[in-house]
Amino acid sequence: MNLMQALKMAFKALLSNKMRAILTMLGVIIGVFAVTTMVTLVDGAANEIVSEIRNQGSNLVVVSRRRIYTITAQDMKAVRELDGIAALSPYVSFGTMVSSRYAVQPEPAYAQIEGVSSDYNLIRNVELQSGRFLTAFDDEGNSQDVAVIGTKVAETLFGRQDVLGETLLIRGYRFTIIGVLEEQGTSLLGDSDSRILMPFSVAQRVGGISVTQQLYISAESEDIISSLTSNIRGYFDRAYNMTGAVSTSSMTQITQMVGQVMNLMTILLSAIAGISLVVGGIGIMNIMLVSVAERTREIGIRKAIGAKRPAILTQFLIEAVLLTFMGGLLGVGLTYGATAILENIMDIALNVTTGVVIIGLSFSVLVGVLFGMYPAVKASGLHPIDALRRD
Amino acid sequence: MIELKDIRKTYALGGELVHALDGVSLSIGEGEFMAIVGPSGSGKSTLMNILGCLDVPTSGSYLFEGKDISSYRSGHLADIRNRKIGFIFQGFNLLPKLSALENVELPLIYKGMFPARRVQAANEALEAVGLKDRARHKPSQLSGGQQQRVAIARALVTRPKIILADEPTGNLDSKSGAEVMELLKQLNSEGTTVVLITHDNEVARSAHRIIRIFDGKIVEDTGVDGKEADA
Repeated sequence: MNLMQALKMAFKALLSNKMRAILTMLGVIIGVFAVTTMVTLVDGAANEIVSEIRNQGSNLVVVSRRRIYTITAQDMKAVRELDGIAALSPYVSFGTMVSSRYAVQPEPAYAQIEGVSSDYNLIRNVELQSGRFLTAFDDEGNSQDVAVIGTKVAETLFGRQDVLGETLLIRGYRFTIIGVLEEQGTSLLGDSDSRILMPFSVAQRVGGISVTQQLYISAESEDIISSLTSNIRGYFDRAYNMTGAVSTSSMTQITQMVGQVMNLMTILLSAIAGISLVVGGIGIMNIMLVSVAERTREIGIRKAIGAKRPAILTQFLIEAVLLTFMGGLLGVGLTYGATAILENIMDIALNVTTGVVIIGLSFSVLVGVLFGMYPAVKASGLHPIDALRRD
Repeated sequence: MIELKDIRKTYALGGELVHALDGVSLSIGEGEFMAIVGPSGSGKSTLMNILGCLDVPTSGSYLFEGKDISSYRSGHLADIRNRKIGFIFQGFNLLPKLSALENVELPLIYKGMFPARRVQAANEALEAVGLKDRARHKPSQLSGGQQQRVAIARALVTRPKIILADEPTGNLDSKSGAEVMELLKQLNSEGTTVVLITHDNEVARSAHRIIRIFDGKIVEDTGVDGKEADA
């Protein structure tokens, strides 16, 4: 008996009990749908995070002090001399409450203070909706204290966004608002609208921080990042005569890390979704056992006219696999539909990859074989006389 | 063609041993038309199951075309059933979801015949039983007599050496029954060995040789020419 014939026979058997076939398939449909949708969602989220990171400057290299006390002005000067550096800024960040003397809202707002140099906007994409960014003049600490603030800070303290020239109070220091950042919204990476950017030395003073912990550097291109980071580490190791004086991290490293975390998420979520696939498989086994019992007489007749064990086994196994495979197809179809809807709701790009489809369908076939095997073996082992005697 | 020697079949029924066949020896020659007659419980169904390779004897030897098949495995027996034996049952035993033609094709599918040849052979078999125009009908759309004729077509489509008919007229009215018997006679006259199992003496009279079985033993054998054979 060839496979085509077996498939035709199995198809006929399923068609003769459509409602039952669909209900049985439901478990597999949901299982495959869950697995493929989960994988697609995690994949989409990972892509989103990576592209967001890239948006913030894909050439970014962060140098952090590790075994040394502080990064000195001399170090900064030396690092700036290294090949391949487009821009450099010291960096300090801390959270604090801020308020306005003329606040509409009586209560203060929470803000993330970032102390940077005027080059910072060359390193990370800083878009202003009004006013100006910090200048070299501000770096020197010559001017009165100035700040560039996020829209959320402006809204909370003043109830509006055109707040240029207004005065802020941060830990008793007065700041004049010289720029307002473009609204970015809350992203997967956090809230970038609650930021306040100010000159590095001013931030150190306000925060009571005397050391320089981090440098933000923009490499001239993405290709040289790994050689640049090793050069930077080499400089510090030589200058301080130790190994591991500083650590460096780059966007490439961060995106790799995101990839690893997302892979883990994918495995975890698909394992959970896979449980529903197993439950679907148990449903298949259950209904196939019922089917074998119902068709005992048919099995007897087939055996009497010469069907051997493998022929009966194949017949029932193919029926089970056909059920799960069709369930898999429907599940994948649902995934396409669901991701199209989710894409609109969540506003991220979702892509059902060929790999995901193949995995989903393979699993559905595997479930059919695993859970169809026992009923099929049972059917094929029936004795022809016993089977014929049954009504 | 068939030699049974001291065939015994014992069942354990509720802890008690039942001797369904108690030392049956029988030889069936090629081209015979034989009836095995006995009341229910006499062991004739067991004998038919063993003759039809549906069951194996507890002891004794069964020579089919000179080969001892009493110890054959199930796959081997399935081959013999498929290629050498045609079955006709009292209850027709057609598959209800398949058309007449598909039912007749079934043994050829298990034989591994290609579809085109298979359909042709099945159509010829249906034509031989006078049901060519009913090929697409489902069993439920056919009368009892027609269903049994489809079953006969299914039995003869593989050109078997022997046809085993278990009460083939049992579920039929007398007219359809007579038609079925006529077909069996015709098959026999074309050279197929026919073994009829029945409790009905009237039906058995069509056969050339009658074997009576009672309590698992052969109690009468009229012999090939219709005369009492020597025991």
